[in-house]
Amino acid sequence: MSPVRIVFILLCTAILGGGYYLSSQGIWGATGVTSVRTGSAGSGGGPSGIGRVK
Amino acid sequence: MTAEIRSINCPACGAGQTVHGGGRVQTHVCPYCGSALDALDDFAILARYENRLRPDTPLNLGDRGTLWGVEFTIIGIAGWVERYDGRSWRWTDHQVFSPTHGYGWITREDTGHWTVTRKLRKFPKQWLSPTSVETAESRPHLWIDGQRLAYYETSTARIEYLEGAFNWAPKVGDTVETVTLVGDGRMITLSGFSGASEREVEDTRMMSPEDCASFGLTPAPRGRHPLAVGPRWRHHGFVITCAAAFIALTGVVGVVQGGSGGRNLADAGRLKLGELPHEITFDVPEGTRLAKLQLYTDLNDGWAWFDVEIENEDGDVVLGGGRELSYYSGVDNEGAWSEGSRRGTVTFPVSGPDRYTMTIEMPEYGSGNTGDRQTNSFVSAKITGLSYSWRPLGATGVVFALILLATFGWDSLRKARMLAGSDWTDED
Repeated sequence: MSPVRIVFILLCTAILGGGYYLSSQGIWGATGVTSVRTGSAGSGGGPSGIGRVK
Repeated sequence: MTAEIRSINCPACGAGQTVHGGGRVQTHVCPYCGSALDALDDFAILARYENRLRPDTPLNLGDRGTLWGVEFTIIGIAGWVERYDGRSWRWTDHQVFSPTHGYGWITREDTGHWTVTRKLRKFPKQWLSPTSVETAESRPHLWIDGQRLAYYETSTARIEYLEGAFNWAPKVGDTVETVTLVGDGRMITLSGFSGASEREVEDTRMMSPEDCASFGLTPAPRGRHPLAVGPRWRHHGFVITCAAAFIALTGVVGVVQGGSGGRNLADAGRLKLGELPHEITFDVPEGTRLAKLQLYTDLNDGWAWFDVEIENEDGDVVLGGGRELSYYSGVDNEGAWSEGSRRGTVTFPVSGPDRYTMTIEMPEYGSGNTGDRQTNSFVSAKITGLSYSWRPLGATGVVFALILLATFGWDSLRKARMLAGSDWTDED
């Protein structure tokens, strides 16, 4: 197998590994809050979206 | 195959000349006076072509060069023209001969590219004629030598100049109808569509720089040629397979991870609105990264705003925010309709092991029809712990999908460039 193909497989494996790690850390998991008053998002990342609807 | 080279004096003009091309030469056209001589009948005069205009070619009869690693000699030159819709395209064929490898053609294309052509002894299983092209509903394809080729053009070309020896009997003014297909790195030309002419299949490829140099040619392309488009990326199949495999693998990892799924941390059950604000205390075990609050209320044609505040065991507010739920329904002339939802979910980050306290409050509410009328009577709250977030894995799958699409897209663009000059048009 050519070095290019080996590098490509390693790259894909690294992407999948990274995705798995971030997933297991709960990254980008916070959702559903439509308004944020205070506090910190912590290690998991902040909630998406701000502003009262009504 | 004989390698004989004959020297003759033209019976018309008397000019001495060499007839290259071996024993299968049928016709020789005197380069000085244009007389066509019958090589099979002691060079008797067949015709005389006057007012000839020699095509613009740097090659001359007797020039030698290398093709497929074998030395070939230029034995004949034929100028062709195709006219259509007020436009004309001209190219020059040079018949070449090798005592060991027979006959072939090198061609200076209308675009300035140089190609090399040889006859194929292998025929496609299916034949494609101009008539079948005309009646085809989609671009025709043929399989030849295990390669799928796409229809490129139908051409009716006319000979307008001849010089030297040929292993056939061309005449100035003769027309030949061809159907050309194109695939990776090669064009296949089919001819012989009438009962009187023999079916022929020719294989054309771009001349390599080495082959051009051996004939002393310096190609100066000034237009597009389908063979000038590079072949498919050699890693195309590998990258497609690999990306598809990693998409599947990402799905498997997602399913396995998702299967480890939520753990119930707290369930407040149904709370009457009079019991709000309400505190829920729950323990987050180690490894839990997210907590999902699921709210449900019996809203009807109204909205309610829920404030949610979460404190950890040290009393630090880790999240304070709000979530609106609204639900409207009715019946109109198109039938029953509904808008919004009585359910809402808030997912927030936690870090176990720790104890958290969540306070839920409903400070505002209202009705879409009658202002601030309260339309709900209770709210239920349930908290589930999650050890994963699906979004990073989803993004991973998207990355692999993009690699897949980009590889397909690049190849599609390459094919589109290859077929850009085709006379095929898809009907709307």
